[in-house]
Amino acid sequence: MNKYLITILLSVFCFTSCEKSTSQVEKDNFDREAIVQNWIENSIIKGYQSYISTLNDLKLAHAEFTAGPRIETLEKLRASYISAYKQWQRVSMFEIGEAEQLNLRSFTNLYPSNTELIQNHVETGIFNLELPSTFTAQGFPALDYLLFSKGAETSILDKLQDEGYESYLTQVIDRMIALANKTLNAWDDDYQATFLADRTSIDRLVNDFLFYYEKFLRAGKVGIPAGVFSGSPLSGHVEAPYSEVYSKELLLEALDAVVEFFNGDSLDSYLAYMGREDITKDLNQHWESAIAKIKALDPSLKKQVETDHIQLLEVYDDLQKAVILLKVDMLQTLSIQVDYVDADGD
Amino acid sequence: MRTEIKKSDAAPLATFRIFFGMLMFISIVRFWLNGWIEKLYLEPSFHFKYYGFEWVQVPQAFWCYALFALCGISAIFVALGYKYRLSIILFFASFTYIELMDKTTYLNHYYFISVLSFLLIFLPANRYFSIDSCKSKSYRQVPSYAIHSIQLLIAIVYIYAGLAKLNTDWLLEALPLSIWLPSKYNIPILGDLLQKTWVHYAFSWGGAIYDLSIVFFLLYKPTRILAFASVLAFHILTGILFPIGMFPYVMIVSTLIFFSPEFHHRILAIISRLMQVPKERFDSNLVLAGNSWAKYILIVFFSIQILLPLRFVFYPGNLFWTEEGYRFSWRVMLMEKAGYAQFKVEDQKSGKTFMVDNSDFLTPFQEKQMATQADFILEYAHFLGQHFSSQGHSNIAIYVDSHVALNGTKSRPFVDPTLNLLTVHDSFAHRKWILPSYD
Repeated sequence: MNKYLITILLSVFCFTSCEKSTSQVEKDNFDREAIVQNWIENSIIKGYQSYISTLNDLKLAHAEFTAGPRIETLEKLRASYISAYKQWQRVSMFEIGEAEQLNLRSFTNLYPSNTELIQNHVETGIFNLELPSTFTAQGFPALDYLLFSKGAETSILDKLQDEGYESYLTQVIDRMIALANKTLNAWDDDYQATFLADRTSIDRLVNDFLFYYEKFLRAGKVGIPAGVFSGSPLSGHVEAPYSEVYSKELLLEALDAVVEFFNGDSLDSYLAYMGREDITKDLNQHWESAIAKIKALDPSLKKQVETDHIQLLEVYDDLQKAVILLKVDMLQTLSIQVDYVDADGD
Repeated sequence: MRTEIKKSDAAPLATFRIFFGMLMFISIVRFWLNGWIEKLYLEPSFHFKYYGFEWVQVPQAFWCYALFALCGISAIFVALGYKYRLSIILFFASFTYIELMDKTTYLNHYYFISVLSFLLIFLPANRYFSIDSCKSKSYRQVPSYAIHSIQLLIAIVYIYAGLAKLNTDWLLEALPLSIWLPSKYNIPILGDLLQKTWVHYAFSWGGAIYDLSIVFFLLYKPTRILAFASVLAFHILTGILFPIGMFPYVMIVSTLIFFSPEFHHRILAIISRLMQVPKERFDSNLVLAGNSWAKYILIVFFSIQILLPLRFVFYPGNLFWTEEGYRFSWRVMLMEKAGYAQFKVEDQKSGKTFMVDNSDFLTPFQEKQMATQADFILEYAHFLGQHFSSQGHSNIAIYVDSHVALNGTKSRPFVDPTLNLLTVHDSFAHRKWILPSYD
């Protein structure tokens, strides 16, 4: 009887009693902090730095255009718009901390844009871009409209020289730069250290990553225009509909950023540590398949949706298969808590 | 025949009442301060109901808070032993109503509170060291069944929890602990240890042996102190490792019921000193007679408690996969389950289909619970059917593409994706439309 009891108590107490001997425990604990560190340094900080530098180029190009409005300077302005937009695709997923506070994604890239509101702002000059009601009148969707929509009577070149347009463009670009700078500056050494030390950081970042992937990439860029949620395709809901030919490029860039975030000292190595390389393999296969299918699409997803939306639906299916692997298999394997659920368990 | 009912000292029952009431009050305050009333009950636009309790509605905000206030205040009255019978009935009713409002929040320990407070309605927990006994008579002796029935309920909880762990995943694979524990890597001191396979097995086996045996060691006087020390160690440790809220404290306090009257008199002496109420005024020589009808209620109550967890034997298939007969059976922390369900709405006239964005209707917590449990999926499908019908769609069919991963195995299709869920209705019968958990 007593022997039995002692065995049980030992097994129950072993947790506490073993504490004393941890000094000689060899370090085989997988270094999750290294992953977070990698994300902060290489994905987040460097990502925002590149993004801000492309935005500064954009501002410069706009100034050049204002000084000498010609076809060449307009083309340069448009080119810098698209490179900033592409760089945005690489940081859009990090809606955490300051970016979340600022509502960075909504202020930067909520589409389809509200062109009536944009016109109203341009014409009256009365607006406050800090209001959430102006989400769809600023950021890249507004730039896309301003720089590419074909005016009814005047050429774009003439239109953009109008004082109202010029001033609105300036303010939209300045606001994007201000928001991006605020976000990057918030990632100072103190915040990095706090973020690194916080055990929920990895969970929160992964949740934000998944939220972005599911809602903004899978649904926003592909599913919604392809008509997955409405029954019929919605060509007006593609990203960058006025410049048209860049929407496919933007999607590829966004998906590339996702693949890059996932692989290389990241979730892939964490999954390998848990013995589930198969999840990584399957995920990359689905993404590769999606990328191959996207490459076969028309550069204008709007045109693609209007002519044959089934091809975009097929891309959606690949992206969707990855959602299941990410949200079910990966989250379970890594024991990552689903966000916002802070209620008790048992 | 009343005199033949065995009598025990009333002190253990009195301390149990006091601690239970206080803990419940703290639980309600904690729930309130965490903002969970808002988040779990008021914010969601749709609520999942228990079968047969579809009529339970979430009241409007003011009345919802009033309901929690009632629950908390009645818990204090229970602790004080003031108008005890009414207070414990109100506590049981309000607490259980809250639980019935949305089964998303189902937890074994909430069910335990409901069951325990129901039991307490029939026990003379206010006859000693209470305001009630101050106002009328105080009884030093109460029928023994009052204390034994609490002990029996605790024994049922532990032993069924232990029996549930006797499965191959738990014992042979150390699952799901080998999934959960490594993620607790940054707990001081233990973090590195929790990465080790032998620790996962030690925890699994230790937990199973603990659950199965702890009641016997608590009952047996020579082992009682050591057993209580392991109760403390076990529940504090699980409280550190897992987000289980008040449950560890509820169990720690509950197991005190196994201690001797002398021990409880010492606790009561401390309380009376703190409250500056002389304990002597309760220490009468009165013996409370037993209640003959209480006996029959207790027999029925415990028969249900013993039989209910066994109902799973009537369902075919893998219990962890189907969860038919899973709830209300003390299956605690037994499995890791994750799922994803995408619903498709089809207009059967035009053949047009579209997908549902679950976040339009459900909170992330609700969606998470829904995706792995067939009864949730069906209930939600019927809600979607009603919703889209009222939007003018006619002849609707609802399909679900669902995947579930159980204990770290690769995710598999969960519900038959070719079935129009509107053609099936829930019942206690086996759900044939759940796909098998294996090839």
